Amino acid sequence: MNKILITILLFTLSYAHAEEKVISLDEVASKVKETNFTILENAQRIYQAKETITFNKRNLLPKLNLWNVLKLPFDWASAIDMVQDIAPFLVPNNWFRVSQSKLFYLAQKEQYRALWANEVMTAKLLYTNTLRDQSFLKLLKTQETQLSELIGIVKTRTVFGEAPPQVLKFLKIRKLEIEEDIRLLDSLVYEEIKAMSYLMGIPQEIDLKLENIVLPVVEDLNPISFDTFVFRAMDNAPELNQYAYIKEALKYVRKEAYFSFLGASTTSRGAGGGVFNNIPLQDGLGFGLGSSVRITRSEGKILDINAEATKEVIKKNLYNLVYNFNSYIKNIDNQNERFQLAQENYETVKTQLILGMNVDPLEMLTSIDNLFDASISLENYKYEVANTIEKLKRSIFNGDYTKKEGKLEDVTKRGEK
Amino acid sequence: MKYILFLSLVFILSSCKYGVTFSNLKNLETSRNDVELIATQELTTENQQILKKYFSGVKDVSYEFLNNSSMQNYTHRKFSRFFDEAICNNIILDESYYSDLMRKCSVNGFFICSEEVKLYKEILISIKKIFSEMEINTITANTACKDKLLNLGVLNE
Repeated sequence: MNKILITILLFTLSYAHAEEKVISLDEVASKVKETNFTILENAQRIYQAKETITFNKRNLLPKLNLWNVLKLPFDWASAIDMVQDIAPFLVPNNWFRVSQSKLFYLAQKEQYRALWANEVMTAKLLYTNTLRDQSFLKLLKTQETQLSELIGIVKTRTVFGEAPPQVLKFLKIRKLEIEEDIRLLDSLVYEEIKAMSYLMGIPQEIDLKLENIVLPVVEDLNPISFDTFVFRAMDNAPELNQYAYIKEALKYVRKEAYFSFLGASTTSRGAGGGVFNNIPLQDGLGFGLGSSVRITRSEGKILDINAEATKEVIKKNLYNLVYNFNSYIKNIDNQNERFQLAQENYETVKTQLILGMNVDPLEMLTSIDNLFDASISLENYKYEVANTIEKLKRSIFNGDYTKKEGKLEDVTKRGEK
Repeated sequence: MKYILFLSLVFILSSCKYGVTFSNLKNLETSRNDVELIATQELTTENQQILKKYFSGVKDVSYEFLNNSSMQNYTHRKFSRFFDEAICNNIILDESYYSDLMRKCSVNGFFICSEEVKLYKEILISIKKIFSEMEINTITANTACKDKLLNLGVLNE
């Protein structure tokens, strides 16, 4: 009985003291890659695409279909139908499907790269936003302390009849408002940390703690120009590479239409190959060939339109990011000055109050609010710059987003061996 | 007669087999010159394209050599035909130009050039591995070439 009790106690205790995990911003990318649910699912799709290539290659070799063989003694002419079993490599469309599955595998890899980069960026931005909100929470608590001090002073002055009672009530109302803001922000931080755990595939039971980051020194940064960044953004965009691979695969669909008189292929194009399912292909040479070819051409035009639209979206995002980055750099002095003035003002009014000078408590409240607004604005500014830098890194595939293109990866890996 | 014709055909075909790759290797000379010409200029999109052409060219040629063992064997057999003392000076970028480019490619902590530029030295180290010691000695018989490769960190002292 005692043993059972101890076991139950230990079990309860283990739940009561949830496991704690501290992570840093540098770990986010690797964690997302290893355990993010969407990434893991997509990695399986790549695996399937790779296996489809092997399947389609082996499908070119003879296979045994007992029912077709049994038909032979009754109908020798049916031997012709057996070409797909005995010599599938004689059907050109089977070869075209192999080529298509190779290209769809590469397209799938590019899709994975885009998805991976987006998930990493989402997780990293959430990380910095959570830290920012935690920092806001600290500033709110400081404001609450400052207000409590003011309430103490005003309370004494009310007793001596130096301040009207409604001012004290007004200040108390303001303090209650701040307490509510603290509660709301605390809940938001809690939700953000739970969302972080989900993005990184960390079980919800684990208590996640975030390490602080070094915020960029905005004063040391120089303005950037769109022209210098656009090349790398386009050169590295997996979204554009994906269209290029799919368009290359389309050539083989056209060939399938031309060679349909030698039989249609029943093998799959592989993961993502469904994109060509709406292109009708005849099983044999017929009058529909012209239409099939025209539809493939039209499909190619759709891909071009989509690629062009994607290019414009990339450019639009990059223009906005560069513009924001430069405007932050330009305005940092303004933010610093605002904070400095608000702090000086607060210190002056506070000193006057301590020295017993007749300071309007509402003036004091205004200086506390000004200081809070300026502190929040400056803090937010620094985090916004950090976020913009992160988004820029994503758009030009720098830092954690660097992923070598297939050939480059192959060549450099050989050098390491 | 037929036999001779057949053998000649095989010979012609085998010699043209890697023609594209070797012609791409030769074309690197022009693109390297273009890179050196723009090394002192600003990194505009057009200049980035010039960089991409050369550095991707080096990567593509290296990929072809590294992934084709029969081409490697062919290269060993015909080494003197394609590689001499001048090859290194003709197709490899001088370290000073490369350092300048790397400096220009880094803006506010961002790397704005193509990834091949950053991994240029690694690519050269990879491709070096397909050559035998004797072949390397032939290439580096030229002092300027040896210095170039030493400066780039492709060769060790």
